Amino acid sequence: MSKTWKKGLTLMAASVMLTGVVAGCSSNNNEGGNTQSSSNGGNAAATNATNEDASKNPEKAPLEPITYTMNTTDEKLTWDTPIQKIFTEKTGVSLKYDLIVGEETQKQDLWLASGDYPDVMAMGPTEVQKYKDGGALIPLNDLIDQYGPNIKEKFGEYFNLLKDEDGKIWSIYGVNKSREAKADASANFIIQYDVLKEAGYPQIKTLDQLYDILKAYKDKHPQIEGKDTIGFSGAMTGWQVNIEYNNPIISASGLPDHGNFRIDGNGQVEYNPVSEDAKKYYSFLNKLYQNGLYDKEAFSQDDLSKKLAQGRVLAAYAPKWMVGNVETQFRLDGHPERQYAYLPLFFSDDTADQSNTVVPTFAGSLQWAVTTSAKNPERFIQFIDYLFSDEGQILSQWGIEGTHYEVKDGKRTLLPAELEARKNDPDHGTKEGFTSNGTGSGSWFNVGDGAKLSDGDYATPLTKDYQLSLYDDMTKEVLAKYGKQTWADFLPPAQVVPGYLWQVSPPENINLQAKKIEEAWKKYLPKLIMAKNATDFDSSWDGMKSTMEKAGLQEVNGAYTDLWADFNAKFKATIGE
Amino acid sequence: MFVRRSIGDVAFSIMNYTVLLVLGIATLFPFLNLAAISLNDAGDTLKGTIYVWPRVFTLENYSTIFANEGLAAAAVRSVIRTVVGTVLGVLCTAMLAYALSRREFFLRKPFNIILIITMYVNGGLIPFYLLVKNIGLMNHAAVYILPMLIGVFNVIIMRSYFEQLPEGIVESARIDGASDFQILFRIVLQISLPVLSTITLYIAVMHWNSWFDNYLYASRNENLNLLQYELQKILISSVNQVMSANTHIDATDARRTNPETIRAAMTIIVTLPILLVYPFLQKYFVKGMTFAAMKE
Repeated sequence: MSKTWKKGLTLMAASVMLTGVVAGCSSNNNEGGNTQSSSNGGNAAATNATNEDASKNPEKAPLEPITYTMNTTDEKLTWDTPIQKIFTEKTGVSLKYDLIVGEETQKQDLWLASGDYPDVMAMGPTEVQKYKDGGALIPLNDLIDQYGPNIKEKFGEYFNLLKDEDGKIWSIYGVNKSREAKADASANFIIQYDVLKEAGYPQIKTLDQLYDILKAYKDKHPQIEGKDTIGFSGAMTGWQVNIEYNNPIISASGLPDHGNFRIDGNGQVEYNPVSEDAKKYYSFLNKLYQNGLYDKEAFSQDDLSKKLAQGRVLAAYAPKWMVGNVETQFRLDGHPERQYAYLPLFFSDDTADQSNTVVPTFAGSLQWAVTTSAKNPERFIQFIDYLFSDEGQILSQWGIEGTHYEVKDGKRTLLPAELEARKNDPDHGTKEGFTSNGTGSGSWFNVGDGAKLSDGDYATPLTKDYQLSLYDDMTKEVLAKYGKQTWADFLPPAQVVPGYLWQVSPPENINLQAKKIEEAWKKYLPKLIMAKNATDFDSSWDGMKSTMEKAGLQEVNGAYTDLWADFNAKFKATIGE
Repeated sequence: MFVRRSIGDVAFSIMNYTVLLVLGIATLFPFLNLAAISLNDAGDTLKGTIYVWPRVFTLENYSTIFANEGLAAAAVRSVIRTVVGTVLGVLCTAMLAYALSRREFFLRKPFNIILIITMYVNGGLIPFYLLVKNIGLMNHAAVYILPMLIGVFNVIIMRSYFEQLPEGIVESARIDGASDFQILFRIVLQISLPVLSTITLYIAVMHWNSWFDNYLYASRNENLNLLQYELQKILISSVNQVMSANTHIDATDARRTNPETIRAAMTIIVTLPILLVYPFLQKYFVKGMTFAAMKE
């Protein structure tokens, strides 16, 4: 008994002393240097060298290793990678991942209830609120003030956006320094290369032009590999209904994506599926249907990408993430001509494209919060601060010089071997350490693809050059016909918006009305698209409109208009405009 | 008359066979479909429309799964858990059921009521989690066995079966000087094979399939990972891969796994052992269930 007690005391004393040493060194390095110089006396040259060293590398003090636990759902994440090894060298910090294999929020709730949560949690805003209310989080304001100069510098004028309504910072995420379309961005209307080729690569800007080339192609090729050619497809059952029957209307109007709503210049919010533009889009689909170009199975399928994978869908509305895997398969199968061009299409030639928008921060489903379990939370903030520094940015996004990238003509460039590995090994990022729990855009507090660091070079490798290196020959050829290099070149420059309507928690008092309106939409959609003639279409349209109006369309629009005004006012107040 | 009746008979037989055949196919189809998908190329499966025969045959889905380190160890753990859990579970269920089946047991009524209450009312997930934590079962192998030791439904089935055994058997054994344990193990259980095998199968399948307690209570101890949990990990990493492949531009040329084929192959892998055992227990299984049902 007494022996263990003694041992414990010694250990404690040792650790207190050690902490003292580390704190002394790291918090006031210059002073340390000075003390050394006075004690060293005569040897001026040596002193100078030490001093210089200290001022160059304020982190030089031997860092006591410290390990933080953190939740993840990515079973492949590990700290045993070349890049993470350097993180630890520079900051002393290691992460140990606590894997959640089942339902994430359920486990997070249980952790909160029982108090055995990890030191750091990556979670969405709702969970952050829960943890905050449960007293499980540490407010980060003071820690960032003291230990986070790089965090403050990178956030700049948007720093206050990190703060909750109570003025405290409960979680941290990336900030978007980029104001250009990401090199891998693309419009969402897709058209098969072969269709464009047969039509002689025409400039198409409107849905009517799309109709003409689809019709021409299908008349010439009624079948593709023994199966009926499908002009245009969609997916009406399941959650993709919003992507297929709401989003294209927004895109074709050239508006930013606010979910199922559109916002006019005066801040008036309108339910999009019953807008005048919606009528135009549904009559376009109706025209496709009447002429046998619309997929008859669209009404009963829930996953469009499965249909696209068959290679016989000529065009559709499909975001890149729905098509990526499918196109890989086409290439592997030796059918590059079945890949898709991503073109912005509009209702008319003079539609102004304002669809490309960016938000200033990457608040989202994986915000990092420090819990009360964490010992020495300042060490973790120092770690995050390192990641926000230019050195940390380069290391976490570009990797190690000589291993992953080189500086060629003053520009960081990924090495050929690295490019090859990225192309062929889906786990490459995890193995090398590029992957982390997300922080909004990519990993490790990425400041936005297309953003530049203080050295004037790109912050992440996702640049135009990189994107170009990944295209296959046919893609390059098609792009060249249009005088472009990437699909992103079809997009206008990005505008900063405070946020999107779908990110704001919806108003609660109109739940029932909103539900009835959505039901009416889903009920009338097939009727509109399958209408036999113009009168039939008009009567369905009027039916849908009056059902929605009866269900409380005005109230819903009004509630969202207020919500949006309120959100914008808060945003302006926060950044101090 | 005769002719007519036989026409009716024939019609009935035809109807009978058709209905049964349709029913049989309807039950078999999902399984065959999974088997076909699990043997079909991952990329090709993206195109859908695989029914009962693979279009591009491959064993790659299985090799993807079996390539995972830790899978074999997890499978061994799962087998151990199933064996230990089943033996202990059946033993405890039988002892409790026997006690509750004896009319002379004076706490029989209150015990029955208490047990049945637990079938309808429970503390919920969070209290249960806290209980497991506070009695020190967190990340401990016992968490797989202890909380699942008694299933009330199983106890009721077994009790009902015991109750319909002729009372004289137990009485005569008692007159011959047998203790309660001797009566249970030497006599009652010997003549209760149908219900024993039914309960054994129930408990064994429950243990074999369970992964929830692994995820909830034992996820921080890698030495306790079970087969189902490891398979779930493989599935999730396949889903993650597709998601990140679709959102990032990396790995444009890599042949990827497809969660759909992985899931199918997983299902086949975990169902096979049960399929192999089931036929041997089946004849008792039906008997055990019907006996118990009759009595109640």
